[in-house]
Amino acid sequence: MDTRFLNVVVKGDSMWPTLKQGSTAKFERIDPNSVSVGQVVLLDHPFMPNLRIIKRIQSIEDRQLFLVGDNPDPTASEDSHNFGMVDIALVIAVLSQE
Amino acid sequence: MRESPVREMIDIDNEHIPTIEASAHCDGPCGVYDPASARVAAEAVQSMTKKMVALSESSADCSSASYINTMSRYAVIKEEESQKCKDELLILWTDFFKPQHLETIPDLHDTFWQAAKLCSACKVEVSEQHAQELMDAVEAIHHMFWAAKGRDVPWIRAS
Repeated sequence: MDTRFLNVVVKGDSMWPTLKQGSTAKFERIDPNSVSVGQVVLLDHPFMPNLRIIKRIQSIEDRQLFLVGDNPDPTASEDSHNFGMVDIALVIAVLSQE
Repeated sequence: MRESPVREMIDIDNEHIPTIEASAHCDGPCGVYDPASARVAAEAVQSMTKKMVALSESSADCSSASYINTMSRYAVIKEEESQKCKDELLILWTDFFKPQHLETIPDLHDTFWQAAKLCSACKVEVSEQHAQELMDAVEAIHHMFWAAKGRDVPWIRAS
């Protein structure tokens, strides 16, 4: 088994049009400290430890990430607009291809 | 490195890679929307419109207090339910439907715009034609809504 990569089934439309509901995306496990602005990341939800979420990094400040969905609709994404900035250590993997 | 629960194994691109699910959901409880609220209001508009037309065509004394009271109550309900229908439609239009829905429903905006205009027409007029057109528009939105959710829900009227 290749544990470097993860296939992730997308639930929801907050990352539309980059990732569509029901599609499968390939993520690569990385050192959380290596992420950069603009990357799409897989991470643990800051309030719900059993929930994995997918968002794009809009900004990084003091090891805190501001995460957003790609969907332009203002109600389409639960992200840092709702739950605030999140610790960089929550990141599990980055989208390997867009 | 953090570990995530592996739900199942699948073979994609000839590689054995663990597969998990991840959420990319909206900020609200998107499951609570239902066009039934707009339909009930639209039915009330149509019902009051028919009652007003029937009463005006009756032989009742239109100068009597009871006539004026009855007609006024029909008009007030028609006014209120027209506005309620418009409010419910706007919630569906601006909160439930998202940009991705335009891919499969290219006439979404025009359908809602015309439906909202019909709500206004039903407020200012006593028009059975426009009341029926409003019902037709709400029915069209009912089908658009449930198709977007991937469910086949039949159109049912209360009246």
